[in-house]
Amino acid sequence: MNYQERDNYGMYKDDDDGPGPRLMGADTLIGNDVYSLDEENVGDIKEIMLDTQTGEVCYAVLSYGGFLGVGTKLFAVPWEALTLDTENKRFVLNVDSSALEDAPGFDKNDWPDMADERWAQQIHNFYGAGNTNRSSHHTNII
Amino acid sequence: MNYQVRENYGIYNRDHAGPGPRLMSANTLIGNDVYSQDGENVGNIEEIMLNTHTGDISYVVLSYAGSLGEDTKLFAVPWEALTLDTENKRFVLNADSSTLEAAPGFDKEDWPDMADEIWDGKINNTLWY
Repeated sequence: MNYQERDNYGMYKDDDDGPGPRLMGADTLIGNDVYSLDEENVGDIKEIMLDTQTGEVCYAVLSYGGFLGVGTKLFAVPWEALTLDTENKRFVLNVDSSALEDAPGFDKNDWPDMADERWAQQIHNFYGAGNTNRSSHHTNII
Repeated sequence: MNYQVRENYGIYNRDHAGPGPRLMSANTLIGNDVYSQDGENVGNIEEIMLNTHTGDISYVVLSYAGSLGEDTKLFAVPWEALTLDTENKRFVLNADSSTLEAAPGFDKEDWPDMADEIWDGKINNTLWY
């Protein structure tokens, strides 16, 4: 599943080549494949969490299915830990698949308080995405 | 349709009172009702456009059928033009329905290049503030 397949409106019709769309619809990103740095298919995007106060994208919620076994666990990754691979039309997570076995996750029936600073710091530390202050960040586009 | 009805995981279980959830999932917001400042139901959230470079929400795309029953048009509004009404569980656009009637929209078959700066200037041109 990739964002072009999910594009019902034709918003990406002019983006056949080049660095990829700068603006992307959140709905088209749900279900997109996520690969690790060592090119393992580690799961897909289940949800995108938005900070309603600042208008920023905070986290993508992934399910690491198949690879780590089928289960009810979900994983939040900072938005900065994902890179869009426009050639293969998928997202790349900035860690190897072996590192994900220790990734902090949660049961899908028991969502954490994502606004909690301590939880946020734990997530940012794991993915090396810097501190939770978003003042200087950018998302890499391959 | 509102964000609590749409969510399957219990994301908002702990948000029983107060100003509403700080973090909300894009998936639960799509399809939410949008009302104008003068209390008219002006449509739904169709899409949320994310700027992949900055990680910001660029625009929210609303579908609006119009009071005269015309074909549904789409409108892009800045995120800041919407307020979450947690009591009624819907979004409120900071404009009257008459403003939306006169606003430049687009046909859903002809999605504009939203990264185009001229178009961007049109949208942010104080129409919604």
